[in-house]
Amino acid sequence: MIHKALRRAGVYWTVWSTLAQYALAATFINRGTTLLFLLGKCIRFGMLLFFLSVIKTTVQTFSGYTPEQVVVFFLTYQFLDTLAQMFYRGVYVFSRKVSSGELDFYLSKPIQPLFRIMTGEPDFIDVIFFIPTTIISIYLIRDFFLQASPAMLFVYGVLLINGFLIATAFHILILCLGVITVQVDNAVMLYRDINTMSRFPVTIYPELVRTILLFAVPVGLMNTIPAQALLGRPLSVTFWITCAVGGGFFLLSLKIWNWAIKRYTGAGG
Amino acid sequence: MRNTQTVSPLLKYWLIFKMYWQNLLTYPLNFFFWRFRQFLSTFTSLTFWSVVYMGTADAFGYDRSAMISYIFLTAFLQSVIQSTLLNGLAEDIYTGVISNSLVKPLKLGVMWISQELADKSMNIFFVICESLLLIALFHPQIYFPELAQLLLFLVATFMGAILLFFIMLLFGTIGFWSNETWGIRFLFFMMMDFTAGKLYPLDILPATVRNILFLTPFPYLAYAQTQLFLGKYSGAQTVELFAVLGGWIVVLALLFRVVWNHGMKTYGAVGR
Repeated sequence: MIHKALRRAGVYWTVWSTLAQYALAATFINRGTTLLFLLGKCIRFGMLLFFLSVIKTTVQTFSGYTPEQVVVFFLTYQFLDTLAQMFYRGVYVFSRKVSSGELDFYLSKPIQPLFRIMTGEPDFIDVIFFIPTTIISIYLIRDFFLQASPAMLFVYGVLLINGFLIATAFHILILCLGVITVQVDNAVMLYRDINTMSRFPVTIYPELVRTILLFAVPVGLMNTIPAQALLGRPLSVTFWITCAVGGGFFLLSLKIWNWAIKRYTGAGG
Repeated sequence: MRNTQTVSPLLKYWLIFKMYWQNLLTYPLNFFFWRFRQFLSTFTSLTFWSVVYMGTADAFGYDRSAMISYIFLTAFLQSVIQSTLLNGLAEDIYTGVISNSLVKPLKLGVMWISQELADKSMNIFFVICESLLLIALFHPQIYFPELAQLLLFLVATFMGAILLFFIMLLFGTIGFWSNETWGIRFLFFMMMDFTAGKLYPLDILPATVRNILFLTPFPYLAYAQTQLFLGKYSGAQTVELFAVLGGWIVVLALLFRVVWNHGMKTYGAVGR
């Protein structure tokens, strides 16, 4: 049983690593484009950090948090957002696969189509961006890491994993929408924009919006709760509920995917 | 069936205008998501600054009313100036799709203008609806200028839209020589996002960086218009603004003409 599972995992690793090698080669073939993308991403990252650093000359507290603490929320958001983009770039080009019928080929292969669609086009521009920005992020908020107890760091780590699980669920749901409506392009950007709302603590929003961001579209659980845990501040939602909602949201997305894929008619093919 | 040659030019481009409205609504869910995204980004900025102004009366030289007005103005300007359908021009060129338009009895320039007007009019309609909803939610105090100032603002906005039009056309011409056009546009939009974004005005930057940016077209794609509306420009600065805006438009229009003519000589309609 274990041997069979390991062999299966080996197959998936071979498929993913082969596709990743192609993606890596493509990144270095288009060096100019890669550099421009990196520069654009660095400008976006740098400008927001700069903005958050100059805002402290104007305000002392922001919804109960110091400007330095707000940076922790932004960097936690940035970490999870880049991580999801790194692995799940395939979601961004999914609608073309549905409308052209290319999805048919994925369905006929002896490998989970969901795995192939989501992880089939890893983004190495994001990998190149991810490494230095993560190092910079750790450096910028090193004091919070040093002040945190091992238990707080452990909870932060678990909540980050939970956040990544929620991000995965969002990407699966976007794929479901693509299968049913072939209209994914703005759906994935809409997810990014809703996620962007949580680069600041979701506690700044009116109660109704906050509740939506915590439970209906749980980007707040993804980004705000881990940051609160690292800062040792009271959590807006308890650790266990956060994990339960994260896990439940992921399982729900898989259920919806199974339902949606049965309705795929191969319209483009 | 109506013969195209009997259709008056005005009607022809009106039909193109209508066709683009229909195209934009072909995928209603996608369009709804696009507008909802714009709504969300304005909502986030309004919430952020509402929280900031709980702790201070002035930030970067803006009081609460001026900052809220700035956010609404930027949302409006993003719909009027920065929305464009010319993003796909480069791809149309390097894939040869533009041949379809070249062989038709249409003036490409007028066709692009019709298409841009269709896109911008639709965005303006929706941004007004969204702004009304946001005004109902936030009850903001919005700064309103005198009529003369408002007219100047509208002229500057129109000129800003022409400026972006030529910038996008120039990006499109890259398609004559390369199919790697997305990277440079991504960088351009990132720059535009921070020089004309909804979250913060350019005033947060150090004076040196700001002065350097004013040597580029970026501040004239929203920021300068907002300052004009908010009455932050003196008479001399207003004249300078229009002179620089006009200068950029003339330079980029001439540059586009040269590059386009050069590109058409090399155009091979690959794949057609």
